[in-house]
Amino acid sequence: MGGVRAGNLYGTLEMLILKALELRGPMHGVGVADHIAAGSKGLFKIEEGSLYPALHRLQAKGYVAWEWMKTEEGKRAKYYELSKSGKKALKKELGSWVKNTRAMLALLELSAEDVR
Amino acid sequence: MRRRGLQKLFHLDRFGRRLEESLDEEVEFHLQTRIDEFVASGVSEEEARERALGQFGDPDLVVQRCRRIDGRGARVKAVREALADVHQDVRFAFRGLAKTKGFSVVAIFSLACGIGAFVAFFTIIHATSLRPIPGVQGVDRVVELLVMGRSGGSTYWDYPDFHDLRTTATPLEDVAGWKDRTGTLATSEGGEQVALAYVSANYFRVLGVVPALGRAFLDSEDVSPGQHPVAIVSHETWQDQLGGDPDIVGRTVTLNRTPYTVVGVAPRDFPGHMAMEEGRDFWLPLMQDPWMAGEDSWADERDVMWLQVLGRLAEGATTDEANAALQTVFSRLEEQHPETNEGRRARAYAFGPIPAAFRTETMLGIGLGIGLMGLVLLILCGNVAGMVLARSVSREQEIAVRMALGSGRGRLVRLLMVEVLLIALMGGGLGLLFATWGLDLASSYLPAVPVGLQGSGAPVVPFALGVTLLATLAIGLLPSVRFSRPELVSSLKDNTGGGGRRVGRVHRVSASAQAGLALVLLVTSSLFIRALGVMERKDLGFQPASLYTVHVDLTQEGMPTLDLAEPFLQRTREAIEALPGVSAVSIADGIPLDLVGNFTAVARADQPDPTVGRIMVEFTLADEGFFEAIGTPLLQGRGFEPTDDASSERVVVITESLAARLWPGEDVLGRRVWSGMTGEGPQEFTIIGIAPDVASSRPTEDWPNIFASYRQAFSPRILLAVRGEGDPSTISRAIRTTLLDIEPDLAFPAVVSSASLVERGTVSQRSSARVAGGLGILALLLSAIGVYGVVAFAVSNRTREIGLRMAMGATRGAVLRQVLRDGVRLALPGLLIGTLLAVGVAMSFRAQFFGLSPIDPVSFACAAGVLFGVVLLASMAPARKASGIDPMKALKME
Repeated sequence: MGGVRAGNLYGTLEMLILKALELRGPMHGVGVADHIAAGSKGLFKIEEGSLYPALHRLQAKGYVAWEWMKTEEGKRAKYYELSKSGKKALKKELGSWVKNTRAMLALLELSAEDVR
Repeated sequence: MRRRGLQKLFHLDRFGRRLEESLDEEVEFHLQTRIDEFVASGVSEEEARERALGQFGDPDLVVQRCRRIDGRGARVKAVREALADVHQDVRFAFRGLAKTKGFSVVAIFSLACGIGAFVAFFTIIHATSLRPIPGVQGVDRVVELLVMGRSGGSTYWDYPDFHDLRTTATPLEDVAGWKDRTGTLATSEGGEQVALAYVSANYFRVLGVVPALGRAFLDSEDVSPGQHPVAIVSHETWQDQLGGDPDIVGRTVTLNRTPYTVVGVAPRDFPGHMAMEEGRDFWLPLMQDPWMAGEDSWADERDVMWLQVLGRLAEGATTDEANAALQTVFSRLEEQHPETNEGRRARAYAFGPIPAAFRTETMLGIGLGIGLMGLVLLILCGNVAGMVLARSVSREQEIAVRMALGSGRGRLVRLLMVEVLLIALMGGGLGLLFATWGLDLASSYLPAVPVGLQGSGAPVVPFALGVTLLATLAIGLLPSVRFSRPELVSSLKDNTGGGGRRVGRVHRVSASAQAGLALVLLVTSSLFIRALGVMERKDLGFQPASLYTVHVDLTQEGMPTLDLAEPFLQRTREAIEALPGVSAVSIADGIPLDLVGNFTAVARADQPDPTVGRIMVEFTLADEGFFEAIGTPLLQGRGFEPTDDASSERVVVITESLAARLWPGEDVLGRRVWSGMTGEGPQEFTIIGIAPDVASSRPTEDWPNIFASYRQAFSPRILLAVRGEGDPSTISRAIRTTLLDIEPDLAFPAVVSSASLVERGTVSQRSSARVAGGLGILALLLSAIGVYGVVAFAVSNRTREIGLRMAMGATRGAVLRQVLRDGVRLALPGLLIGTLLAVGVAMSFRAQFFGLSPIDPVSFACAAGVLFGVVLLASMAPARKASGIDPMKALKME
């Protein structure tokens, strides 16, 4: 069944996080949440808490590395950074996601015409 | 730079407490950041907290989920790290083994031999003696019933006792009788000898065997003699001889000239219930047995013991209950028929692949075999351990460097164990291959041995793996202990060769012990082989070579009585005697080792009661040519004459041991005995001759024999025995043609050479001698490797010393002599102790080596001599190497 994971929100969320880290470099959880909210122009609303399990899953897989560092305001925060294997995984996931989405779109369009 | 810092922190997080704090802190930071943002936008502190939580969700839940994910991640990481460690160890070990190729090859190959032999042996034992008999259902309720005469030996049953037991209510739900015979199947080429089993109709029911095609026998088919010519064919015979005809049921086959209707085909996995023997070709109703019909039928003969009996216990009944019932039945029979049944008892034994009659001996043999195998494997492991040790000493530098670099002792031991495990695994794998070859070889002469490992149904791979792991432990133990001792390190530091001496001590003792063990094995196996030789040469009591036999069933030729048969027999005798090369012809009903066997009881007739002092004997009906034909010259008296017929005094020839039992130390010629051979109750017979002891009908049994004139106790199942020199196939063909000339309708006379019967009869002894011999040779080889290892190791360890000596003027010859002397001195204590052990072993197997003094000087001298030679030879190579040492090079070394 290849990688048809369009309905898998976890997968999508993980992909979004990786992408955010790729674009913006090391960030803490709040930064990731802000980036996703801003990037989707507020359309993509998630419970911010659900970011953390996704981050920790990526950490267990070795896709992200992390370190406690001081923020600009001088507070301690856990920063995440895309690892080499994370970069590879993102590229692969992205490829298949795009392919699946195209397939889904084609299918959905066809059925929409049928309805009409 | 950054990466290293991250990694460091990661390790810290493997402690759970720290992990949780950081999780709380992470979530706390997120919430606080949001709260601060909301407060900055002018919201009250309280509302800011509420909004932040609303955006975030339940923080406890988030922490919980993250903790679970982190835990799982840590476990995965730990496993991954362990795997990486193992991977590294395996790589190191491979590299180490590749560096010392000679060592690796010898170690792997010798382990492969040992493990392969063990696996093959296990598979054979499993197939013949441990595996439940295929096709039999509810085997725990099946029992074997043996009759014991007063003398204690277990024998076959007579038909009336069997019938009485069958018709008595006992805890035995059903009792089935069976008798093996050979017969002739009519084929397009003439005839083919087949194995028949005459069985009571309930035989298949008792064993729980359901025919693959058709049906089992009906009870109505086993009531009156000769009335129901129906047969069940074995799956194999159906496929091979009958072409696998799918419509076989209902078709007719001709067995012993009688058309039989095939009513069923036995299942493929049921070749017969005797797991250790070749399968049967046809099963026929017991009432079709030629001896169930006619005037002198065995159906009411309580003195002729010929049936074997199986029973099925009723649901819930135990063997003990069955035995109690058998006791009652046989006590009653004893009261009713005191003249035959006095002292006769029956017992039930659990049914198994090994017949109950010789289960103890067989299990003992198997135990002995496994013991020997284990011993060989142990020797072998000792050898490899010695080599590993020697190798580790020669790698002192490498080990010292590793230790200096911070490898802990645990790590070194682990590396060593991985090396040993690799060797053992490769040895085990190769051993499986060897075992497959060995089994293919064995299955060609042992019918019960499965072809290949897969077909055996034995748990071969788990067994091999178990043996391999045990071997790994055995090999790794000693070197590991040495590694974990602190002295090694100090001995490594001073590299004067002093450390080598101490390592050598353990090594020397083990090599010496090996030589001793090899001696024990050699003596044992040479005793086995000599015992077999004795058995083959002397103990048979007849000459199977150049002896040919033909079974003829005169009942089926229309000559069931002596009067009708005599003209035919006389003509046959004369015609075959006239054939070129033929020196003797006999009409009899059996010869030794023909696997048929009829039994009766004899007692002294100088007292009136024929039941007093009865001895169970095997009897053979014979004629004037018999003893010459089978090649057994009489010791005293005369053989039979044509005049020993119904009109004259009844006469017998008995064997030496029977004479000694009847009248110990007295002259027995002319004395008279009671016997029931004629089938008319006990009658007096006069002893006219004494024959040497001859083998019984089955090689595993040992009965006294009695011979009577067939003209005085006729049996229509005759055996023509012909002694003829020359090409076997020419003689066989001539005999066959002659017979068909005289009686064109004769049922396809199959001429069988007696030598082939003997061959078949002694197969198991032969193969056990072969196995013992093979083991002895293997042990010899291994102990040679062991001695070689020690001596070679000592020489390489003393290279400097020897070089120094030679520099000081020692000659090559002196060095050579000294190394050889060392080798001999090394093996001597082991050889002495081994000799003592071997005497012990030989004594404990006194019974096995009949006709051979257990302390057989020839066997002992041979074994010791051979071993001594091998020790010398094994020391030779290193000795020559030592004498070739260049003093300059040796001293410059290191």
